[in-house]
Amino acid sequence: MLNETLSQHQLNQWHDQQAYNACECAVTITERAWGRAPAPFVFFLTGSGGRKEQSVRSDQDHGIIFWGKDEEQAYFQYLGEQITHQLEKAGYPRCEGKVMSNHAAWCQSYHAWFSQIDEWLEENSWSSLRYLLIFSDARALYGAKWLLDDIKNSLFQQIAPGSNAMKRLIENTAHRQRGINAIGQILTVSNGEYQGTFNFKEQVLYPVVHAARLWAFRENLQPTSTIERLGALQGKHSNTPQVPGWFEKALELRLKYCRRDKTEGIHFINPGYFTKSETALVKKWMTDGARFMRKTEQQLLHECKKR
Amino acid sequence: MDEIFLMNNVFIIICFVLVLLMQGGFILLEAGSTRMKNAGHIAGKTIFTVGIASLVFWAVGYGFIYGEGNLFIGLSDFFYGDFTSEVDGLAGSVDFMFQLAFAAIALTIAFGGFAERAKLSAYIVFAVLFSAAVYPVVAHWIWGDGWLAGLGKQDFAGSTVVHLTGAMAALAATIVLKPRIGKYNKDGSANNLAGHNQVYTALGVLLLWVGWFGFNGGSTLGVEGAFFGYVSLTTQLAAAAGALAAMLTVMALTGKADVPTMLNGALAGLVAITASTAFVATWAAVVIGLIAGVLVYLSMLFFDKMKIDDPIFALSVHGVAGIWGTLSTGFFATPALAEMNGGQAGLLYGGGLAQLGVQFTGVAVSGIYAFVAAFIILKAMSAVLGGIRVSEEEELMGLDISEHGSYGYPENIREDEKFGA
Repeated sequence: MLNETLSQHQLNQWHDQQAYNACECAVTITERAWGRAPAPFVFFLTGSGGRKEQSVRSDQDHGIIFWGKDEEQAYFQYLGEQITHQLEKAGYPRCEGKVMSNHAAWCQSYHAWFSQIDEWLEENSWSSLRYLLIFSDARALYGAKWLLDDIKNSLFQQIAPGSNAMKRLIENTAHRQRGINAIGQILTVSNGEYQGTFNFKEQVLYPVVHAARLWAFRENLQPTSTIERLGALQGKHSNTPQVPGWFEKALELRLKYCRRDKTEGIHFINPGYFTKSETALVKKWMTDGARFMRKTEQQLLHECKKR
Repeated sequence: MDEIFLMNNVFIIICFVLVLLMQGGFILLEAGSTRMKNAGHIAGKTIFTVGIASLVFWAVGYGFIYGEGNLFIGLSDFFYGDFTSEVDGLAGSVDFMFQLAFAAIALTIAFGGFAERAKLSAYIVFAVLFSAAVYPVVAHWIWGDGWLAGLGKQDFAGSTVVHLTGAMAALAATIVLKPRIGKYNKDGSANNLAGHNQVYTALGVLLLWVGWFGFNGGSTLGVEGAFFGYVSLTTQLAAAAGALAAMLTVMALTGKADVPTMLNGALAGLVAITASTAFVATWAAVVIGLIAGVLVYLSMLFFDKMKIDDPIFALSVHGVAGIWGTLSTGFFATPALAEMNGGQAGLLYGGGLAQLGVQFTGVAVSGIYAFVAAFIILKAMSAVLGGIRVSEEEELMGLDISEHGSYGYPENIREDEKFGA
């Protein structure tokens, strides 16, 4: 049962525990049906789970890497389906984009994953680059962590500073969505189910999430959470833009208000609920986050042009 | 025959054709702004209601406006058929045709408030009663020998007579008919029942914009002095400024350059300059258009907040911009142009509050009359016809199939559109 007073950090640990329990249960079911796993494997979380930024409710984003032959994929895909099923039973909806370990694209052998990464880089399309960004947030939760570490190391080395791949990733995450209108009001949804609310995740958190991820590629930073990425970046270079120090507070504020509404639209918050000081803070975060993203883009694209 | 007389008559007949073609603009504008399942209905009803407006205008409308009578109504020239007289230097029949086209436009504006939920029979009965008892009264007051004309009211081409009168009837209709199914949620939030074709809407606006040169330019009633050129110039500037102002306003406030709002801005600029086109300097035309563009967006938000469902934005485009346009001459009318076209100079030219007072009185009384008369007519129709709104099932099916038996888009209608909102 989810305790209503949990902090964001404790909430992430709770989500991790749910996912871990789902894995253990799924392994038992799979072993009963198919026998012991034919090779070592790792189950990883990605998306907000990978970044340790889940809200009260969250959908599923995960995958599996297994050491062994491609013929063993059926076993691990069955395991992936069991994990997906267990998570669904625990209240985590399936991912509409099918980023789940019961789908072949996200349940592959160690060697196939290397090829997959190369293929995505080579394809260079909007969707393949989006998959790369998702994968870069992957965090090992259950099993042989080294399998994931090897592949992520390889990926990060291929996204060299100033490379074309880096340029395309910057273009893919370019954020131009305004959060505040010309008279300083928070932009809200104008009609429909979420009328009068704004998407906290997209308007406040995402610019910083995207920028921190780009810096992680640039500096080969292994942590997956935005807070840890920002921490690792701080003081690394004199010429990096000023790193926002408020991200954790923003996650806590989101948690406070998404608990209050208890709606399905967990990322949509009515700004009318904020106190005066919270409104001022949120506006400052939006401006600050957009500036951080803009400066990140400018600096990293400048490196691309120099090469 | 006098060459100028001939040229004036040819010019006005061409302007009549331009104003009649504005109905094509309304067809595209309204069809594009509503859902696919009602497209054929919206387009088709415009044609037959122009027919009704024409017959009623011939029978009584023209006589109520321009006939010999009193300060409140004309009482001669019914069933018009004169081919010998001259009116304002035009053949009587030419003047009649030009005025008929304006009456039909006012009716089409009023039907904006009926969109997507009124019975076909309601359109027919209201077309007759509005064309006989609402529009001609206001038109007589301002353009005939009515009491507002006597006060020197400035309404060159009809911001009040045509646009505000139509819009106030549309307001009465939206109130009597109530919002469309699915427009508002239980918690009071509004849904965007988006129009099905922004290209149609944009083309409709362009067609209206072109037609407006007949509407305003033709209101000079002749070619002597080529004053229609100046009227066209102020018209063009106001429309341009309206589109720009609405686009910038919606971008500044929402972060998105909403296309329907920008289109409404162009129309609001046109509606606003309709009263003042012959009275104001070019810079003032730009200011009038800019203010109309800002007002139209704020007005759209206001009506949505008040839960007044106005699918075609008739209240904002023709009502609010019509009021602003009429009042604008009270501020911006120049002494030279006022002397040339009637009334007095505006506040900014030392004319004091006199003309502004007349404009305000004209807007208020005309607006109230049009609203009250239309409201009473609609309530009476509702009682007699057993309601003027289609059943819920018919509304969900769409008026194409429920009222006319065939779809405007038989191949393309979506399955969920056939029976769902």
